[in-house]
Amino acid sequence: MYANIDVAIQALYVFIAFNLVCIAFIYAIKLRNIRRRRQNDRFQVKFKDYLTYVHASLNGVEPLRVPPWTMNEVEREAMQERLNDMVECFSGWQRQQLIRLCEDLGLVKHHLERFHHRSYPVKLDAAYHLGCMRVKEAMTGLLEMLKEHPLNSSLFVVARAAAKCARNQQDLGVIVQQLLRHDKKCYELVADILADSELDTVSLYTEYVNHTNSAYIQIGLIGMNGYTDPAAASAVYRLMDSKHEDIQLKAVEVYLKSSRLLPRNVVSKLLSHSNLDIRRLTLEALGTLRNAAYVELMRASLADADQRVVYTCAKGLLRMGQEGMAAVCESAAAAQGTDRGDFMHRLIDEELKHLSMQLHHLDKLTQYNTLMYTYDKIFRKPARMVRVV
Amino acid sequence: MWIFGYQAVADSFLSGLRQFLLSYSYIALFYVILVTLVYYFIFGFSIRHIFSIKRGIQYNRMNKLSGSSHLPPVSLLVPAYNEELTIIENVRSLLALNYAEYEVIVVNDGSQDLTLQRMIEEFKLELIHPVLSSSIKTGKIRGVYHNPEYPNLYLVDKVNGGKADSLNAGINLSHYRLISTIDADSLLEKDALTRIARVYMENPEETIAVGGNVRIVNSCTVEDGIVKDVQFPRKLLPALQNVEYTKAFLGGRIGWSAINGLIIISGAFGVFQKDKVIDVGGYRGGYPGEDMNIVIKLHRHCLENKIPYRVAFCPDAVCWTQAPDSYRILSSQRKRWGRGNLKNMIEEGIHMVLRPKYKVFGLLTLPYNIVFETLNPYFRLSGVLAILGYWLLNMTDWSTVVIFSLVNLFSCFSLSLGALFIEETAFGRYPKLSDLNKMLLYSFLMFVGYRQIGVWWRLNGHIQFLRNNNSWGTMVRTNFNK
Repeated sequence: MYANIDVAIQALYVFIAFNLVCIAFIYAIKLRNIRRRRQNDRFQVKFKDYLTYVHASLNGVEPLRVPPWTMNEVEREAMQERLNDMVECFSGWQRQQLIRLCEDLGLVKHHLERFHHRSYPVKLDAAYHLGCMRVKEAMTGLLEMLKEHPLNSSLFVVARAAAKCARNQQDLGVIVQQLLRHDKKCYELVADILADSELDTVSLYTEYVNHTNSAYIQIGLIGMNGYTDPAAASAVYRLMDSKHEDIQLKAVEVYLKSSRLLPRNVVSKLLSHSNLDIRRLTLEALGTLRNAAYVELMRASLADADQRVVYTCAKGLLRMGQEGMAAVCESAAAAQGTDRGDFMHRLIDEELKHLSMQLHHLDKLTQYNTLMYTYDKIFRKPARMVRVV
Repeated sequence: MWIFGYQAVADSFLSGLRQFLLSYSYIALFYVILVTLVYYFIFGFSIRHIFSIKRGIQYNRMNKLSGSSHLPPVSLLVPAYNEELTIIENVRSLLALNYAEYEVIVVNDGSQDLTLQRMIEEFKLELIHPVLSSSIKTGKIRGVYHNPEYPNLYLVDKVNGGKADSLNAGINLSHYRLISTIDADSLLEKDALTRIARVYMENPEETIAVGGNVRIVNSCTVEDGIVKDVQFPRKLLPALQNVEYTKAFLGGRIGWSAINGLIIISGAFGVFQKDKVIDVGGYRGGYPGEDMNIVIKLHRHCLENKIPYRVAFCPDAVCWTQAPDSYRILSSQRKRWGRGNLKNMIEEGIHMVLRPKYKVFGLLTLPYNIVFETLNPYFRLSGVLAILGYWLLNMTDWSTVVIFSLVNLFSCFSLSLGALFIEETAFGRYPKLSDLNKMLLYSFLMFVGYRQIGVWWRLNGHIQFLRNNNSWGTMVRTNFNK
């Protein structure tokens, strides 16, 4: 028992000492953070005029001048952060001016030196800043780092830095290859990282959609989703019949966005597709186009087995002028007494109510009158023949 | 003769009792050492991961990512029951998030106050007739409201069925593949969703759930649904809960998520893959603790079906919540948590515990939770009784009790210090030196009464469970700026 007490007393001393060391360490961190914050605040005051000068001179032909003071470490870090933010906000000439300023301030050289440091945190910090400053010379080192980096959050930091510094499409290709090596299906993130590159990525994405590997195809489709180029339609058309459901859906999405004139045979095929999401997506796209030429094709979807498709179709048709409204009203009248008929009827009433509250907009007023007229004509309710003018 | 016999029996009994108490002391010592080691193990993982988390915070430009069209769209589900005081501020804060594509679905769970009316009036909502999925059965939906001027806001009005039922109703209306659950008395930071999305995007197929960090909003200044001035709580109970949350979230959950053993994602803020939630039958209704239940079910589903998965925790995605500031409400909350925990262990935990099929979750998380959380009150209570026995039987003296108590106190206090280390290293949300002083003080005070009473509340929760009391208990809302 006494031996246990002695052990307990020793353990108590150890814990007390450990706690005191921890407390001292936490206070040291706190005080350092407070000091840095104060220095940062002083930087904001001291460099206010200089930063105003930088903002005002970004469009000038002359290179930006460096500040007339030497900076301590905290000031240099604060300046770096401000310049990083500005580089991200601007593009073109203004960005070039800022990158040149970073070079003149010695920041590029400083981080290139740090990039070869043995400590991983220092190296990663340098990689991040070199990426922000678009330092092309760092590209080889960044790709090497990317190849050796394990899978964790920092991998994507390095990849983003590399994408920002990419010299050509081959560099971007290597980045994609390295990220796909881990097989984590992070296609959206890869596309987001590639979007940070200063290079034109359309041809890369076009190349990817013709790739045999489904991972590349998905990245290509995600990347192309941002473009409304008719050429994209032909590039992805083949993929709408892919055996991968994800690829099918993404291909249809790109296809529907790429053109305002969709061939009737393709629309018909998509509207009868077995995938519910593809049918809905197509109807949403047609509703957005507001082209009465598609009304007849859409009418068939009002009889779709899935109520969500019927909903999307009816909502789209109600926005497509008199022909669309007539299609919904006629279908509702034909299905009167059934659940589907009641559902469509409710949607029409809802739309009428919604439009009636926005009659101060000329477009809405016209829509209201048209829908009201069609509604009364089809449902034969002459008492409601009211026009708002 | 009779007296001699009585004494012999008494001596024999006392000797047996002494032997029993001595054996108990070794078991208790083993228990305390084991629990401390497990705590240290988890804290070690948390501290190990905090540096990579810090780098993630430092080197990911959230402002830029917030506007990215590559962020996954999210449906935010906000169950609301008698939330008339906070609901408008909460919804306004959600509508102002920095995020590319999301929708807010408020589910009024048959509130008896003016929650529904306040929402309809404030946002000029009208009754609509959308198509509701029937993926999960819910209570009767009385109506769905919407205003095209707030295209990403929906209000579902349903009969009272509890929080889980409300979440299920929200899932049935939701349009996106990711759902996020948010308490109506909580405020999300503007970039909280982006931060969680970043974690999700790094491994979208396997990340089935991501939990956010919950911080205490009491005493902070809130303007237009945004926490403008962060202050350490002025009142005693919220202050104690503040350090308790810091320890649990930063010290515990980071470590548990690092080994894929996270057992709970706070109901206040978490993001889930909708199809996985539907696969496990949605949220379990009729009993508190649905936030733990859904995570256990997700683990079970993925492990049984050999689906690669991870349940992640994102400590930089912050949700500010109101902590109970009165004894009555806090005790009610903790009893509810105790009931929920026990119910989950009986309903799910015991089927998975110590079975290698369930990997880390079955072999570490659940034994830890059952022995050190669920059964904790019984060990503590028996410990107090044993100390009483040692004293009555002259088996110990006060100095021994004090020494062992101090060892226990300082070993636990060092864990609180570990959490403060993580807070100061990676986040530093409380800027003033005085805030750190207070955090240290309350971290210490936590062991003087607060933790003991917490054990008592948990025990009461178990008693309520045995009495089939499954009510939500008392919860009084106040305005955020209080």
